[in-house]
Amino acid sequence: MPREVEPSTIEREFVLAALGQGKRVDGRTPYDMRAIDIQLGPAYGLAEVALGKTRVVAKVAAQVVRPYPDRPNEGQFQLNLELSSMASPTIETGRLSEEEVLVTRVLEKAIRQSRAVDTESLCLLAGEKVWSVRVDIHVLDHYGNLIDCATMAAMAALLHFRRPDVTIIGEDVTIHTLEERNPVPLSLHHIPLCISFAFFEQGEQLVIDPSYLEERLQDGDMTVTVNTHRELCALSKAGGAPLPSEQVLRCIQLATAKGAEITERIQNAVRASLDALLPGGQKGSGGGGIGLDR
Amino acid sequence: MSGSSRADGRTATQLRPMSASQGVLARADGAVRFGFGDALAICSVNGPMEAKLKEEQLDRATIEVQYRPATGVPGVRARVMEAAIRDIVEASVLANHHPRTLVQVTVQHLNEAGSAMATTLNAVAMALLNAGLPLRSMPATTTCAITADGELLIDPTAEEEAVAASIHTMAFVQEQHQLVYIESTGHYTEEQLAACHELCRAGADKVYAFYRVALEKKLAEEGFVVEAAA
Repeated sequence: MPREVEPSTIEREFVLAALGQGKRVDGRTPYDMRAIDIQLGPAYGLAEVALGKTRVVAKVAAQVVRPYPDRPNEGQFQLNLELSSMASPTIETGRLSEEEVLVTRVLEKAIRQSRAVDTESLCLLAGEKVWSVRVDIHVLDHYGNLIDCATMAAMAALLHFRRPDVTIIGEDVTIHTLEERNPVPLSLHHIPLCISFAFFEQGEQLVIDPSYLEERLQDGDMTVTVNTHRELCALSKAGGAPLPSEQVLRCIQLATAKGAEITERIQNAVRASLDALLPGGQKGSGGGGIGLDR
Repeated sequence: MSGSSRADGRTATQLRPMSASQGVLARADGAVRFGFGDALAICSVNGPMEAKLKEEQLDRATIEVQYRPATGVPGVRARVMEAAIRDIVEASVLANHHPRTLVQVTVQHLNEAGSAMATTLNAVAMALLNAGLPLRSMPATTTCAITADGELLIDPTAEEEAVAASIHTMAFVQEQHQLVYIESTGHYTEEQLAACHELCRAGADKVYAFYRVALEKKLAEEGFVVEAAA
């Protein structure tokens, strides 16, 4: 397990000097996000999102379970994120890193606690049977700003997911296969998205969507969770340089604009993929890249 | 086992279309996404790199394998797969060329749609090559299912596996057709196993041909001139 190399003094000075002129090392301006690529399928609820070189896969699965005794009318919703050595060779498997805890915490706040998934609609038979929906988030490549990329992947996967249709007659619950009946989408209240910012020079300089290098040089960071209704769902700032309140308001404004843009991208990608997946449409091919018969 | 077609329109001896994307991850030394149709796995390889003191081996590289399922936390099945992957990687990599180092192999299953082990092992083989590690051999793996009627189906889908009487996964190295890995579950006869061996070997040849085309295509993209196969 190699240790992470600290950015050198010369790297630090170069990044900061460039920022002073309103430029970033990767050619972006402070308010540009990296290119977003959303791939969905081949199965329902499988989404792969690339934010620049950061790459995250989210997979949604649902099964029927008995509800918690204190919440007989509510389905269950779980988020699961684990960093493996695939994301970066410096990550030790099995040991919970600080970063993993932070990312999971922000995701829980953004998606679960903002009640993005309507858990009451997941109830089949009160006190007996409910759906348990689980989102597994796999980080394939860690190139900075995991939080934003992971939320995008999770929300895209949830929007893309279809659970089997059910018929309830009295106490009998019949779960139909995908061939028998068209599967049904999850009921989502809203689409929360995280937008992260990094601060430099004691909170004076601000950049959106920090890269891995910027993340390691930053004085502080903040993640704003917004939805398309122009609502603020969560705000996370875990330490770092103190911020003037105008900076916070500026971040929220920027996040609202970016959030609306990204939501539209996700919705378009989901629609295009579902059109291809639904019966009658052409089924999407495998992983892309080189395809060869037999 | 005549040419009876399957639910997805394949014949009994036809593999699903293979796909591969090479060098897909920026932070890994080598990474390949491999797929048999909708069954997809991605494997990343890092190393040889600095090993922790207690993991260091004086005469060879330490090989660390991690397998992660698409859904849920890694359990017993993941441990079993890790052990199999480690055995195959150790048989393939010339570990004594890099003493006191660490080679990290991480597999992430993306979509489970049958032939899980074959998908995984082919992703691993291609990723080892992509990472530029010196290899003794490159394994090609295929799975074969025997139905309740005794019909042999290569590269079964999840639906076919669910109703199969037995499932056999075999890995072969190179053109010599040496068997390096076999895993069988269910009830079957000796003759059936021999027939499966034949079928999997023919399948492995196709996987090999795919490796070759994929690699040639990648090299051509990078500007290398590839000579025709001897």
